[in-house]
Amino acid sequence: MKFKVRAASQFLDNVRRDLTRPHAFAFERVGFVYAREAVVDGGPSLLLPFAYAPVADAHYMPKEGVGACISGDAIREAMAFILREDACVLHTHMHENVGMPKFSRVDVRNYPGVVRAFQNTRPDRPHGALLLSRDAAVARVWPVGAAEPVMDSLVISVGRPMGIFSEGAIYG
Amino acid sequence: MSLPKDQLVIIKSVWPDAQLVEEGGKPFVLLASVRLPDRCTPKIVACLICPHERDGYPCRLFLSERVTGGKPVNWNTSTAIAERSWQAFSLKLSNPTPTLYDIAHHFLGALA
Repeated sequence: MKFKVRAASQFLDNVRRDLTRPHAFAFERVGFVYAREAVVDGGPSLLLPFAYAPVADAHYMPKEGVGACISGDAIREAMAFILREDACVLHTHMHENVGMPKFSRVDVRNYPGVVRAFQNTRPDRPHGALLLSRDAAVARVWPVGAAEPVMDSLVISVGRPMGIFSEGAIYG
Repeated sequence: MSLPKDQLVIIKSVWPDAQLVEEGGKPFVLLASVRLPDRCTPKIVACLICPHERDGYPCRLFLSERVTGGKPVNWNTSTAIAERSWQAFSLKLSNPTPTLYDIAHHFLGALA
């Protein structure tokens, strides 16, 4: 199964603007992009963002060796949202480089636990992670019931210039 | 005049209450209840996607009320469509062939 995260460039820029706000002690910020899934004529699964919620300042915890550590309350808020709104969720953060961002080892190690919490809450929807850079984005999406993510998901930034990104490749 | 079926499938997956309305032989898509970020007033609005040229814009998004608390935009239109009054702000999309979802997403992103 292949996923395409399709978002207006305006929406992604809003998220970037939020994620680059300074925090009292965390080196990076985290948010949640909420999306709905659509499949048209047997094509790839489209994840269509419709809301973004930043993690509240109070839900960051000091922790050495990571850019940001968020509390269980932040995850629970996201769980409550996807339960209420019947939505998919993408844990979202940003690496402030230009060009393709790359998930860190900490990201890769921690995502399965976070995604499992989302899968337990809303098992009938795909969930995952979105990583932004200043001008690109990549996503890893866990299909319904999957323990491992789909690695070649596309992120499509609709606007001008149009951007089509996947881990390891830029198409536009 | 009709709209592509796949675009309607997509818009309904995001806003399940989306419905096609027509005025003057041209299609619009009504989103009866769109939730905006908490900082906005009001927090819930109705939206009308206009996927065709109107008022000199290639496409527009009309809202049931002018929204405050979001980003500054130039509200420049008050009009009536399909027996309801609507407000719109000035924005020209650079994408020459936006889908219904793209139009809604871009305009809402520009607003809040």
